[in-house]
Amino acid sequence: TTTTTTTKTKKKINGRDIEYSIIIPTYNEQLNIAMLFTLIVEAMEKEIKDRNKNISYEVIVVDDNSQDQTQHVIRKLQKIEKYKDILCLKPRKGKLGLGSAYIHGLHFARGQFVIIMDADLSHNPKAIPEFIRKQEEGDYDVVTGTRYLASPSFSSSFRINNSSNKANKNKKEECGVYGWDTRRKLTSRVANYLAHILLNPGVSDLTGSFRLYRKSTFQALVNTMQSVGYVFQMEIIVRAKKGGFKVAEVPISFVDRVYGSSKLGASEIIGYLSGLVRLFFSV
Amino acid sequence: MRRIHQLGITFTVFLAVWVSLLHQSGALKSNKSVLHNFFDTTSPLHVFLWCLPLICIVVFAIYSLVHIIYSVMYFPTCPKAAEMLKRDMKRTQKELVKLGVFTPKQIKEMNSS
Repeated sequence: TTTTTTTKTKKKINGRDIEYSIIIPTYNEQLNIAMLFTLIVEAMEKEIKDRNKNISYEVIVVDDNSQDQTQHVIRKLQKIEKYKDILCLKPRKGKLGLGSAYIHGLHFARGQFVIIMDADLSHNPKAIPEFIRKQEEGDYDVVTGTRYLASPSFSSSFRINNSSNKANKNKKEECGVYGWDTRRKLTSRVANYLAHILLNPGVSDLTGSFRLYRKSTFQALVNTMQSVGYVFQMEIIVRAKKGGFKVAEVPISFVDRVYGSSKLGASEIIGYLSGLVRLFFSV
Repeated sequence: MRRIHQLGITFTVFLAVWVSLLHQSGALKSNKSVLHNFFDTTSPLHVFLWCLPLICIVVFAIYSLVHIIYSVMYFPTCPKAAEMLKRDMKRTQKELVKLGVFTPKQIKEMNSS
């Protein structure tokens, strides 16, 4: 596996090595990306202030040739003095898939750790400091957000560990999902249950896309991925566990604001099941 | 070890235990074919042992159904987080207008689309 050589003219921000690269794939998110970026900066600055610790980070937006003003908005944000060193735009020619968007962002990532998240504000940037703290706590290679951990588990085999549940009890923020009807919840639970039976992954939320990776771990995993969509997220976490990488979970909130316009169709379900079966035979 | 191997080993162990139970209880006599043994069964214990795999499948199906229904009923939700997000969005939109990234008209148009 070869990685593209990039010119990294600035390895530091304000004289500090960059620790965290936040990669956000976008397509037609002109308003969301601006709000998301503002909230990320707010969350990180609060964490820096609370811990009295310098944390150097960057935000890399991988835009797939949005047809709205997404790239224009990002360039406007880059012109603002306090944001110019933090925000990077790495556009692509078209919609080329989520996995390849992460790989593209990874080429430019200067941080020791990479955080991936969605651009539509379904992931709350306030959780980023919790990912960071969790990673520091156990020197984990991967910290994944879970929408399911807050729920009392019927089977202890799906519970991660007591320390995660204790942390959840002390959490000020609510965890779980918002905006899903019963049908969506049922689909999610059935899909997750099937995946647990077939893959025994050791994490409660397989398809989530709000994660922190050690950059070297992400590089090792992402180039071997064969899946797309939901299955991509499943495959990477399953391979991480099977590959002996240390994985932890953090409860997150997931506010689905686009569910009404993007229902799960038969083709998505069939794609998911076929991907699951392929993973079952290969992992 | 791959998951498929784990499940294969589990299945093989279960099969071995089941056949062993059938032999030990006398439900499976080696001088007759398996079908003969199955259709000649009269004792309730033997019937139970022959039906054991089916019983296990049914029990697993019931367990799965109960687990899924329970986990849907107690699916964690975050209405307060959604409210807080709404407030954060309004606040950041005002900040972005102040910074000159958007005009109020643009914000209004984007929110309505």
